[in-house]
Amino acid sequence: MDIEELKKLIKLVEKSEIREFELEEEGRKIRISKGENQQLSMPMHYAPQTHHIIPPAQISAPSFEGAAKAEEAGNKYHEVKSPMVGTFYSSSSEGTEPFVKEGDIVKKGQTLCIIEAMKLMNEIESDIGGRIVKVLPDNGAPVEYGESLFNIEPL
Amino acid sequence: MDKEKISALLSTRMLGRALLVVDEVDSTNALAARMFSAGTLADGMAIIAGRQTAGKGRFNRVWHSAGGLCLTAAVAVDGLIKDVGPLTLAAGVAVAKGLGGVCGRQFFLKYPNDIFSGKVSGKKVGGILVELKTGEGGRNPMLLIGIGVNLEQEFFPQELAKTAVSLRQLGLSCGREQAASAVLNSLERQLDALKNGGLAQMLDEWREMDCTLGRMVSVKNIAPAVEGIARGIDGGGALLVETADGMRHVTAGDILFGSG
Repeated sequence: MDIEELKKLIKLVEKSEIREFELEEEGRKIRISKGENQQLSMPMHYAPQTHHIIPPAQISAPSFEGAAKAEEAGNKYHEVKSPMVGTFYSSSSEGTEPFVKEGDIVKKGQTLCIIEAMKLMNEIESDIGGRIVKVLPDNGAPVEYGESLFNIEPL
Repeated sequence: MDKEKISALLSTRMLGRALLVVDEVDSTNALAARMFSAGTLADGMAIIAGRQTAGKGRFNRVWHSAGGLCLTAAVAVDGLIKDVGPLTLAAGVAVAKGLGGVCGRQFFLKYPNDIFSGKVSGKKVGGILVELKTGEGGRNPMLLIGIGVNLEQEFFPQELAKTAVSLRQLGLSCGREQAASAVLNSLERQLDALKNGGLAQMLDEWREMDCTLGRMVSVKNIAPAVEGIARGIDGGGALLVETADGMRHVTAGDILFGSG
């Protein structure tokens, strides 16, 4: 199973009524469980509702984060990722121009989009100067934590 | 707005201890954002304005602020924020409880955090817009919790009159300073409780004030749009909407009463 298949699987479980899902193939075991009554352990540091758990016994199997990094190595562009689970908005309000379009030159610190979760608006700024090569999510689409939002060619 | 009076009424540890009171500003959230960029926004700082010239709600919607309470509380967050949803619900509970305390009556919440005057046919008394600012160079990100409360408006423009109401129109007069300090006191208590593992209790408090429950809602500004009957909130704070295609867990978009 590659990282794309794993991402699809996580999304499927998230959207379904399934609480827990376990899969064993080729000596690797993947368990996905949805927490219902999770507590907040750190100040303002919230546990995601969906936990991606790889049991310790399968520690040599590539983790979700590790695989994402490997995938990154194949991408020659700088990736701006979502810092939270939410909805992607390309403009500040309906019917207005998007913050950025493909081909635009952006400065470091320039607002690229808004990610919203439960009326918390998170303005995502570019952490690099460059040219927008690709805007990945559609306007109004749900995005996951760590999902790539923009590919930027550093200038 | 009397700054000294607000300070005297505060029972907080941090929130509002650094207090900036201005007569007029474009919006308290916008001013807070500029101060954050300039590195002058302290953790726990509160900004209160007598009037906003460009007050904004979600998606830059204009809010009729003359006679209202315009307040932004800045709260630093440590670490990465993966799921901040419960925090916006907690802010709603805090404002509803704070106002309820000074006014001596109960307020209700429309998902996620609009403050309503009644459970069934209530109008909007207040709204909350939370923005997350990420700091450059390893600075902690900061939440700007923007709170607008309709305090002393005698009337609203026609397009708002159907949906908005002020405390004065409800026959309640609690004083601007009392309202401001009550909101800050309540907000700090609620955020502290949330930090200390009080998620389940906060969600229960939210459910007690829920005026969305059992009503037909349509959720706009998300793709695809959702329409169905509101069935409360789940353990993570998402709104449950029973649709023709099954139960949906909604965490974004505009929740409108009625079918759209």
